[in-house]
Amino acid sequence: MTIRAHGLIHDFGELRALDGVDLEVGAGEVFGLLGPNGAGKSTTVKILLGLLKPKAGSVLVAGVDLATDPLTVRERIGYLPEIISLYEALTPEEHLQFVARLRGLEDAVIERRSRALFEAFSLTERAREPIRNFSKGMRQKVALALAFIHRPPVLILDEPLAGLDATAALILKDLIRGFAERGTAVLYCSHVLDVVERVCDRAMILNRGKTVAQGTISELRRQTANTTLDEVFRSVATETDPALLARGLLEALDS
Amino acid sequence: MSHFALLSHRLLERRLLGDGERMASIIPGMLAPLTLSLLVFAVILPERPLHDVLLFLSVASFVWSAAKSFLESYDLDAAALDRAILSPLPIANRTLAAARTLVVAVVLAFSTFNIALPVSILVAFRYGLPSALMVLLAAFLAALSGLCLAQWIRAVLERSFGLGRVQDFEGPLRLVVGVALFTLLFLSPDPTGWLASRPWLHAVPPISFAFLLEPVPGPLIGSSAGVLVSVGLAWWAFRLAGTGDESSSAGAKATAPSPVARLARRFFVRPEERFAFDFALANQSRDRTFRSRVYPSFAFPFAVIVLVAERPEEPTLVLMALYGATVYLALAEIFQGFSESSGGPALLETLPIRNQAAFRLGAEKAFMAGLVVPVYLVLAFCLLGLSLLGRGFGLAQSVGHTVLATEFAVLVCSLTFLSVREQAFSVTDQGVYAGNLSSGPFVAILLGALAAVVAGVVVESPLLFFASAAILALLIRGLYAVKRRSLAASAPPSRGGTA
Repeated sequence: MTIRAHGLIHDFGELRALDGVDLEVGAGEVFGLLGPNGAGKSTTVKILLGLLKPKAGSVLVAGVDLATDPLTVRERIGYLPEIISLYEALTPEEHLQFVARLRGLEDAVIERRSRALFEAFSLTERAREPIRNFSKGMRQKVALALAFIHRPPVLILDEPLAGLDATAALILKDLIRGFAERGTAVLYCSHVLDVVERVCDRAMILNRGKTVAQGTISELRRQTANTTLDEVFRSVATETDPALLARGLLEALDS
Repeated sequence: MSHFALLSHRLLERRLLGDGERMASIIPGMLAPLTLSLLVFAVILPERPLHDVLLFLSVASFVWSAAKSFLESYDLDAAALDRAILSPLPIANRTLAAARTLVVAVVLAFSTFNIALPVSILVAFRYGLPSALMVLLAAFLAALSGLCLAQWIRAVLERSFGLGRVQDFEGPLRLVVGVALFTLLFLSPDPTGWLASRPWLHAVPPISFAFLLEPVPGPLIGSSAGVLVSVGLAWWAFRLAGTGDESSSAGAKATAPSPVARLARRFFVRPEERFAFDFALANQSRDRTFRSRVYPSFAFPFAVIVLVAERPEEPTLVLMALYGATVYLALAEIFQGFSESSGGPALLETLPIRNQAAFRLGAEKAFMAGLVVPVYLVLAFCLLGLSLLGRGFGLAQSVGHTVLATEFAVLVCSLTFLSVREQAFSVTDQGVYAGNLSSGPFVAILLGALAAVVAGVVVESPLLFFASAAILALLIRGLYAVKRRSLAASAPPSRGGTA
């Protein structure tokens, strides 16, 4: 297993954000991490990156123990955060150079890979323009390039399709499958269930810090006697009927 | 409640309260004008007539108010959250502009009173209560005119160039205002005498506010007209508000590093430090917050040029200013840790930075090569130019002093970096720096004065000059060696990051 997290527990004050979560993602696997807001997905990701120290539990990433060698773990992960984190004053080219040099890549490799990434994401024309002028989708493309440039064995992608145009979204889905075929373990966090259904091999649904369902997409459907992931999610991760809630809200707004 | 009242309340609350840490960052900002006003009154204008005090306060309040209100508006705009929330709401642009101006006026009132109130109290003791009230009135009218004029200029510029492009002027603008204020301070000529031969100037705002008690009608007419025109300009600014193109900054390309930076990268920056050097160099030339905080610090060195040109007979004063300038450069470097991007520091947090020492030293060298050395090079050219015109020290001494001053500045800045805890551009809240700003200047002022005395002697003899230059160079080299060792000892060795 490329990512192996066992018995993760984390508290924010009185609130138990994670309660004994186990997570395993193998090489070449695309694993969906799902759950409603506040379920513990971001906390899990932050723990995997070493940004949060769990109250209990252990994490191994690409064979490295996070507790003893967090920097090596970070070296082996390509991370796309949900909220894009970039320096407004730097250009995409400068960002890629900075991050790739920090990750130990040679200049010639950086040059070659940057060119390919800019080409794939239609960034070539604007590679020397400060990012402060960019739209949300363009920023997302730069952040994806930062996650991919060092060809890590582990990718953690949080809502990777957010803001992307249709072409870039298609390219990205193919890229994710391509990385997996080359042995990369991909942890795919998203709320867009039909995309998860199509892209991921296995998935886990968290709710209130606990694992409420886990398995291949077809296993999840079978376990809950549902036909789509949407229905699986509805049956294990929502306490009230969403359709009923929506109807009630519409009536309240009409009054 | 009206849109205007709701907006004003919201913006004011955000600007004045923000969060707890922001309050801490306001305090040094309030101390600066207070110190300035007391310094001017106690040191520069102690024996001058009341007219000089009034004149200085009127002009200083006008300039301060215009610059601060111009920049405060940016600070409000920079609150992206407010823009994102407020822009889609059905609120007229002029209502938003008026609310913004009111908020700026409230903030400005604090700083104006910072300047005028302590001086008016001192004036009350020396000249009586009516004079003190006159001081407050002159400062208030000058500040009001400055505020209105700045809002109008801003609206016109935004309409012509777009918000983003105008924001790029913020740093250079602060630099110009800084040079103007320092020049005013340094020169502080006999303004009343100078104006006596130019009576028509008494009617021109902001000078007119200082002559309101004159028996002639000129200043009163000029002041009234100035205030009316300013208010009219502010009204015009509201009408222009929101008509600019916000996206017009798009297309601005990154510029190549300067020749000084390229030379430094080649000869003084180790390969493992270059990723941080390039990163810091690019950020410090374009990060708007960095530019707006750091560029004004260069006002002091540039004011030296004015001093040399106007006071060639006072070399000690020039030397004090030249070597004392390091105080401001050393203070400025504190802001290298602070980033305009909320996302940048978050990105840095997720990266595997093994060689913390290389990161720190590379960024530090970018500050020296990108800012300190170029500033002193420009100074050197100006001093040489003045020497050729028969002003200043003469050619040999100009070269000698700029070499020594540059080395001294690099040494002091490098020493000051020892107290900076954060990596370059790694923090989003400048409040954390408030504590750092308190202790450094006093040590640096003492060092600057000492250096000025020593330099004044050694530059007279070629032997002593070359020996001093060599000693300073060795000290800098030694300091970096010590830093590299101590930083490396406190962090794991590098396994990557080759340039």
